[in-house]
Amino acid sequence: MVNYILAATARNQATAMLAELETHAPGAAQRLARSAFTELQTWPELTVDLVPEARTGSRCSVAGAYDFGPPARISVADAASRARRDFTAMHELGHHLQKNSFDLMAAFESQSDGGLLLEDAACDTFAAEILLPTPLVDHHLDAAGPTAPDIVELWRASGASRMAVCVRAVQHLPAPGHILLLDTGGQVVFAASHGLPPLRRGSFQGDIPTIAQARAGQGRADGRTQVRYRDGILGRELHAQTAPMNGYLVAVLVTDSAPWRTFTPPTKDTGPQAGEYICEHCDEEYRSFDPACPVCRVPNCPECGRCSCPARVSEHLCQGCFTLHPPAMFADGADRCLDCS
Amino acid sequence: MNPAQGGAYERLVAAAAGLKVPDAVREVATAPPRDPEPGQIWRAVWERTIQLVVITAVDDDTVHAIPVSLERFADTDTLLLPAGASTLEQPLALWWGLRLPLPWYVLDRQVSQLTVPLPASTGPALPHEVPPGATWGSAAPRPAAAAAEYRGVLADSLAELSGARWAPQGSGALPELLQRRGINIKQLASHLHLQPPQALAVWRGQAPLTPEQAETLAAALGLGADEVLTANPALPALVIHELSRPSRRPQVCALATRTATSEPDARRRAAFGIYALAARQEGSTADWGARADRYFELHLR
Ligand SMILES: [Zn+2]
Ligand SMILES: [Zn+2]
Ligand SMILES: [Zn+2]
Ligand SMILES: [Zn+2]
Repeated sequence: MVNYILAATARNQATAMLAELETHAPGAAQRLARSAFTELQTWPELTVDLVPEARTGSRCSVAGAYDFGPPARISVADAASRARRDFTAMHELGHHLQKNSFDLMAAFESQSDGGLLLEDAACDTFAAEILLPTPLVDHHLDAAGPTAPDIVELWRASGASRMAVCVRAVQHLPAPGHILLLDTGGQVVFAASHGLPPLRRGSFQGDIPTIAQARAGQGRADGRTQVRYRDGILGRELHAQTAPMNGYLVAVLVTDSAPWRTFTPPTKDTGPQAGEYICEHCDEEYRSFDPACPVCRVPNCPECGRCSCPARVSEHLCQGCFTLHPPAMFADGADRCLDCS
Repeated sequence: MNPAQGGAYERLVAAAAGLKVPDAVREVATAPPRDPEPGQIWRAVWERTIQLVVITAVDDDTVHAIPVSLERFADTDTLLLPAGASTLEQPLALWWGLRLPLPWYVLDRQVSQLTVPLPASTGPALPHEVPPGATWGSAAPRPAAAAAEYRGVLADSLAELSGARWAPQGSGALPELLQRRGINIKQLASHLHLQPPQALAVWRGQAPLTPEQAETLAAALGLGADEVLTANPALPALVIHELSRPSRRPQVCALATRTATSEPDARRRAAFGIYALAARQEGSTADWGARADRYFELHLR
């Protein structure tokens, strides 16, 4: 479950980024939360430009970019919503901070991909932290975990982007799962995953149970479903709940402990059984006829050469004390160590 | 000066100066460059070489091209087209025997378009069927020495264009090499006096070392400079392809002007810049076209 580790490491990294930000520009976090652009325009070492969105008209538009220069430049697509622009600007600022601090980039050195995934995940987490202050989040998201209507309420109350809200909500999931933001066509606009193989943006999920029901009705549904990976391979069964989000649909999917129900037993892992895999380590999607690993039943990834066994990471990062502990220090599936839980 | 040494393109321009430029020619020559297609006539340029070519086939990164001249010299492997066979409205000589693959990035500007289908030819043999009104050239209707010399100039130009290269050819083993030697990002930066972002890019294999940097690093690691230099990153084929498109050439040239470097240097700089650009995008695969657009927007504004 390296995605767990990645998410926890990204959160750890985002915390370090906030500290770096405070050292670099005291009080900037609050000013950025109020108006990202006004604040960034006062940074002499950084140029920030709004550029027209999706001039090619393709779905694969670049929402934002960071070029380290010199001089360092951020470009942000001029999206319809200010909240979305701010999220993108904060994400790109996250690259600026990480790429300019040896202390921050030290975390990349233990990653098999040189920290590419971690850097980007930390940018999302950092952006969500800035734009959604913790007291507000705690006020709207119950300790048992976020329901779909909770997420919509947090979004309305905060003025942050849907994406920022999804990133914050996924941190509060009580079990492995996803928070999906879908458009009216049923395609994933944004996906935040926790402990399960991540879903690609742009993938079609409009016809899987619960989502289909929500689309046919008023956007509100709950039930069980399986998300679709590439080539139609379905993931394990998940408890799902949806809510309308002003033209979009937000969906919460978890393996167990669904916050909207009093008791939900863990779903059976009926996940990808065919020769189709998503690498736990580098997210490569691949098909393999190679003999599977006897332990994890996953053949080696052609990209990074590893199976699903947590070979390099024999320890877990506790999200309570941010300390690496051996697996024995964690109850099954827990993300906090025995000392912290 | 021997007339045979004037470039085919200058010859064409000189000849065309006395003519009315056909509307169709003016139209394609002033339009923004697009990806090449068979049957088009392009101006190909690399460093000091300029040559008109007709494209017979298009692959991912190369085109098959035949040098074109105004009908003045020919050999037995030259297809002579009548004036009506292209929008140039001029009799043309297609030097079929000199056909070579050219990389996309030497294509500079489309000049014209054939209005007759080119005969299909497989392999080195000349095609049997030719378009109406076309004939194969005959040996030496003009003084043989001049014709041979002219042919030699064309052959040299085409070889020059065919051999044009800019993309780096490293093995990409640098990150591994650094990790094996226990060099972290901060140490790499201090060895090479790099700013943090540059050091990170080199450490990740997203930016190449210059020969001087490779030498410095090799000395520090106790390796040969060549060993370090050949471990430089290679670029993904799709990035190279995107930068090879004729539509990118005006941007690359503008970047070369801005940075006071050569066109190949500017192209390498842009390629690694696009490769290392942190870009957020929707959709599941990297859209290098959109990233390249964003890169040039950032650097040419
Ligand atoms: Zn990013
Ligand atoms: Zn892998
Ligand atoms: Zn295994
Ligand atoms: Zn703990």
